[in-house]
Amino acid sequence: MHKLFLKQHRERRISSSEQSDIRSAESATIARVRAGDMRAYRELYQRHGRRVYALCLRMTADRAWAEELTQDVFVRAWERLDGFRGEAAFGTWLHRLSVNLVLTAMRGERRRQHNTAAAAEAMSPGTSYGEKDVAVALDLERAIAALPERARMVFVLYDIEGFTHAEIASMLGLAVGTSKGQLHRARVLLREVLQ
Amino acid sequence: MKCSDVSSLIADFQRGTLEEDRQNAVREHLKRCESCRAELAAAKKLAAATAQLPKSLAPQQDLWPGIEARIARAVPKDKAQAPQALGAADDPRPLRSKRLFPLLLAASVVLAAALLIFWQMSPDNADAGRDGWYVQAVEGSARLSGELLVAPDAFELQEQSWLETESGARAWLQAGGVGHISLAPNSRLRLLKSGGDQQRLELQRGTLRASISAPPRIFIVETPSATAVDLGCVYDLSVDAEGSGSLAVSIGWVELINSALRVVVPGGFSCRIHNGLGPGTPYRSGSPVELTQWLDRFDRNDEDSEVLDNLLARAGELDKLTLWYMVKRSVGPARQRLIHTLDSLAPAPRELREQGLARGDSAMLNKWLNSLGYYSWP
Repeated sequence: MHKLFLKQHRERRISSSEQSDIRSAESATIARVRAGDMRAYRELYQRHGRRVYALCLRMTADRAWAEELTQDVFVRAWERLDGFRGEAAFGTWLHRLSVNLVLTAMRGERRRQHNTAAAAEAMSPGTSYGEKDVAVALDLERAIAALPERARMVFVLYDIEGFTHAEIASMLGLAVGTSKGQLHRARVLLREVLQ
Repeated sequence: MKCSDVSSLIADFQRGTLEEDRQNAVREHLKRCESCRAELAAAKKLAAATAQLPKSLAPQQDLWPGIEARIARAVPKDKAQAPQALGAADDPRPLRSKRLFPLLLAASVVLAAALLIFWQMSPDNADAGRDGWYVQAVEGSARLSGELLVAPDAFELQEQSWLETESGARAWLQAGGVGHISLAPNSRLRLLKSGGDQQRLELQRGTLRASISAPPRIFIVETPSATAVDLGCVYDLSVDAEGSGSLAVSIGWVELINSALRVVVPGGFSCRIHNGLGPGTPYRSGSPVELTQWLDRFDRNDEDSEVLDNLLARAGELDKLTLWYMVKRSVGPARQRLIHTLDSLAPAPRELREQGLARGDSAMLNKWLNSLGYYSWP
């Protein structure tokens, strides 16, 4: 419930009738995709691609890898679209798919030496930081990218994506206490940036 | 409750997910502990800054062409044959917007230039363009100037030094501040030049994948039979033992040139590189092997009429771009047959029709190519 509140608070508040309109429009788009219409799938990519990329970039702190993973997500979503039953919004389903795919990739792939400067730089163009907060936001993005991997993953999933410790612990194969400890570690490191 | 307990519960306290009695206990502790109040204030400040971070971020390049190409390769036949699937040749509204691609190319050039300037101005990256060639990671055995590399140290790649991966080995490189390269097993790569406005490599054998975010024509890879010039993209380039090879572009565009031929390969397309001849005819990635074999013979100027007959019998599998390049490379009656086929799939603009398609000169062909919507002719 609180998670839902956070999501709604951070994103624009949308009325229930608007949500209903969006859901029905998206259902129609998904039906076209199921019929093989790639233009419709491109519409879904244009609607959700940046959200997926943001997750991938913040989790990996590696721009090239984040781009690869974003493509992986949309290829996988295409392959698995038959499994989407419309019980949740498509964006929610896609987001969960993205998190799973990113975590699987980060567990299975070689440890990449990420370039934190490149990751932070990649976040700046085309984004919509408030003008007066842009320096703080960029410093924070850079600091997040520089966090130790596990602390970064927990911080992104908890503080940016709104997951609970129980969900994160389950996804990462950690004890709940470890997830809390990693979040604490990440926050202590990040607070120094803001001081 | 101790300060250390409160510190570990601050996150849950902020989110309101503690049980009621613990929530109250933390609240009571905060009333009388200044240092924990300071910690909560710092946590709130971080939370406020985090909440301001955008939920969406724009990739530096359009990822859609790569997604589309991968789906096109993976898609089952029944789906591929659906009426509106994948820009079928009889689709009156092609998947790629005919007006959008020239704009995309221009936009990518501007964006890449802006990114390069931003990158070079950043204090942390002041040296990236000058000293930025490093072997970042190695799997298996790789040699730099004959010396075995021991992972995970980063090794600088000097000009004229050879990097070689052995069987089963891979290497990942930071590419002079303009992107990243992964090198497949059994590859041999040399840095020819790094500096000024150029990053130039030689791929003698093997395969590399380049992910480049630089303005066009800065990142260049020479192979024995053609030179690949980056126009802003992600691509795979291979060279075999005979000096032939292939290029597969995932995103963006790559120009392949030799002394006689020039081909611009867009995302979702591949192109063979023939030893002694240079770049072949680009074709949509994932095309049937038989089709590419016939194209190989066409590229080698095989004058056997069987070659053209077989290719035109498969015109439905040929992309319009492939046909355009075939027109450009043919002469005489063969050229007229190809012009006729291309015109049936992608009708020439009226002004060209009025000039007479049979004329078929370069200026006319370039206008026709631009009307196909893959790119504006760079």
